[in-house]
Amino acid sequence: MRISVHLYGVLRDRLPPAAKGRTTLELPDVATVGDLLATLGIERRVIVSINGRAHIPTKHILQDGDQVMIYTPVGGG
Amino acid sequence: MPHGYHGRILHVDLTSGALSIEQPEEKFYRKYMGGSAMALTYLLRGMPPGVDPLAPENMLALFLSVVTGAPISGQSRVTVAAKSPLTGCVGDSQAGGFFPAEMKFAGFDGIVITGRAPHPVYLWLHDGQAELRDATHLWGRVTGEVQDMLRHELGDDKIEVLQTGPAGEKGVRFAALMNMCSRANGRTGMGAVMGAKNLKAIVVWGNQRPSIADAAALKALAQWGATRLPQSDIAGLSKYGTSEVIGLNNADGGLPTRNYAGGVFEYYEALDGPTLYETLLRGAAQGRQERLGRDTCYACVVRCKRVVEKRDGPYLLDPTYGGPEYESLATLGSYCGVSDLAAVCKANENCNKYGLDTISCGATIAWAMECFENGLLTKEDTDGLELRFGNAEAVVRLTEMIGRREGFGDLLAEGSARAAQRLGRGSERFLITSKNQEAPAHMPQVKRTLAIIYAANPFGADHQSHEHDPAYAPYPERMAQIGLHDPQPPLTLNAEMVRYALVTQYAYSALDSLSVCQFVYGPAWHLYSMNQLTEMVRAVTGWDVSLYEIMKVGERRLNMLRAFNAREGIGREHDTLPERFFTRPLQGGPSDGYVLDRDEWQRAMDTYYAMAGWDVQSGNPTRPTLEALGLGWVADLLGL
Repeated sequence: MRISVHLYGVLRDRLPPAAKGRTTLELPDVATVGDLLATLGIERRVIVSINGRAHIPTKHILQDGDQVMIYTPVGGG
Repeated sequence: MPHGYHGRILHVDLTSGALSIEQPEEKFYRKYMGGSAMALTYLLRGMPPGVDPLAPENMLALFLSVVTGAPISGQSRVTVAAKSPLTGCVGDSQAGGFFPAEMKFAGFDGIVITGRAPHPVYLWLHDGQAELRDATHLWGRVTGEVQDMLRHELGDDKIEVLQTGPAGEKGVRFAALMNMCSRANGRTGMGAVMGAKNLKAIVVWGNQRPSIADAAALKALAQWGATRLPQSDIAGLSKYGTSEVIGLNNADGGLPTRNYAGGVFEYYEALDGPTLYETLLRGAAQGRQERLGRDTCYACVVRCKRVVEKRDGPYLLDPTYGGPEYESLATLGSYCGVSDLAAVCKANENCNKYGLDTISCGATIAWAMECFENGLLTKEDTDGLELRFGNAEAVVRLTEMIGRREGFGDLLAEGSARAAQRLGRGSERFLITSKNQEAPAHMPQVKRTLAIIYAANPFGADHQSHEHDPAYAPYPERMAQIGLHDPQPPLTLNAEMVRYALVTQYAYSALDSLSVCQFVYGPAWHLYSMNQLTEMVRAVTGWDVSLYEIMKVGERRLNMLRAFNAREGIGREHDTLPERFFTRPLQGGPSDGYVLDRDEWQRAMDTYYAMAGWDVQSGNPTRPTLEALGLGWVADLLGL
């Protein structure tokens, strides 16, 4: 399946600068949010939002066409 | 000899010009540790209730802490406290930079200022000496000029200057105190208090570094932080500064847009940290921004401060004035519907140049924009400005007009709450204020415990007074250090989240008493944990201090803040939120439809006061609670 991924903040440094944090990934037909994070090599604590719903757990199973946003928890600043 | 501090507090009576040194006992330092807690002991003891914040009787207290100036990240911060001309409540604000460490090296732990000088003066502290000098020639000048003139006059470009700008001189109610022309004691109008005292600046330099009790332990902790930083959860803060938060909050639906109408700004990428990094950061055009565009505070490896520069086209940017933080980008940007990054940086520069709190300034302009959009203000009121959301030029222009109290800027210089009162026409309904202070750019509709803290915080809506909701679940080990073990689902405001708000408020209150950076030390995503903070205080002071003791300092300070307000007749009835938080659902994005439930919030507030040991009806501290904290003297002052 294909999913679109949008990485924010320092996470976007995992992609080439021209991508501006956006990419599309091919994943096996059955894959979880945890699998996606592993594919991207993200080990730090993040918040995952899918199709506008935030705080999706790592065991959640992805669907073809999902739009996934990944960002770090925010305190003040 | 104490370790970490001098045991010397300077008292300045500006009316008579008298200077004196107080040398409190060690137990005073151990009980309050510094910063805000220490400042409040002087405000409570030295000032009666009912004082006009801009009168000579108001006290202005500047405090470092027992660890300020130690060679480790995140310790160079100063608290300024006084009665606030913006809120009428206790005022309290922190800033970093090199000034705090340099003030310690000048030989002082704190300064307590009373009275009003007969003509403008500045205070010159160096190697344990203090003197007042004439500042008539500095009056009316912007911060960059004043810093240059003082460095020239004193023959040393290493001196550090904390000053009030033209805005503070003119009594702008949200005037800031600036050091390094880019670090602000921004909130609650402390610049106006200093201006009203005819005190233009405090200038410091010295070589009096207090000893460190266990230098080897401190060095090991400092090195751990430097090594850990790239893998830590503040790596993004290090690279992009707080500007990174634009994208993160927008993704969460929590980036205030057009005066809090929504939490998603369609042009957020134009303001986001990576854009700033690639375009306006000093040296970006040559790919040298890592070297030229990042700045730091004394001895800090994080280097989260930004420096912007632009030498051509509209909105030239002077690197003297640093660069914008997240709050400035949001309040002068999305809050006003503005997406022109250079304009937002220019507005930020103007705030630093005139000495204005960027949060209150941006939010006040956003309030005026909504009034204009709804026909409550016209171009006749605004000196011809077409004050619509998105008008970048108007935002830049207004920052100057407010800083000079010029034309329509004179009304906005009062802050949005007073401006609404003066304007009338139903403009109060567009206010985003608590206790007359404009809300920062973190949204209670999205992070629900902010609904408690924005309302209950004694110095008005504040985003740095507790830990935000998303940090509870991901950091179980660190949260357990302060007794928090049970994270709740997002958008929950039950008893456990009230407990989370209160306990982390004690933690953040302790950080502001130890005068340490809330990005470097804290209970969640920070570089160092609360236990490591304890290790740091032990290494610097040699005290056998515990985290329990540090948390109690935080609780003590919070109770003193509430007690100050109680004495002014300010209690629970002033712990309010903007009406529209309960009545107008957010529009668009992941937070579409989010709105606070008034009954749920009221229950949470009841629980909050009860958990804090305060009277639930009045919201005021009780004698048993104060005595349990060793604050019986405060109960006496309150007549309890």
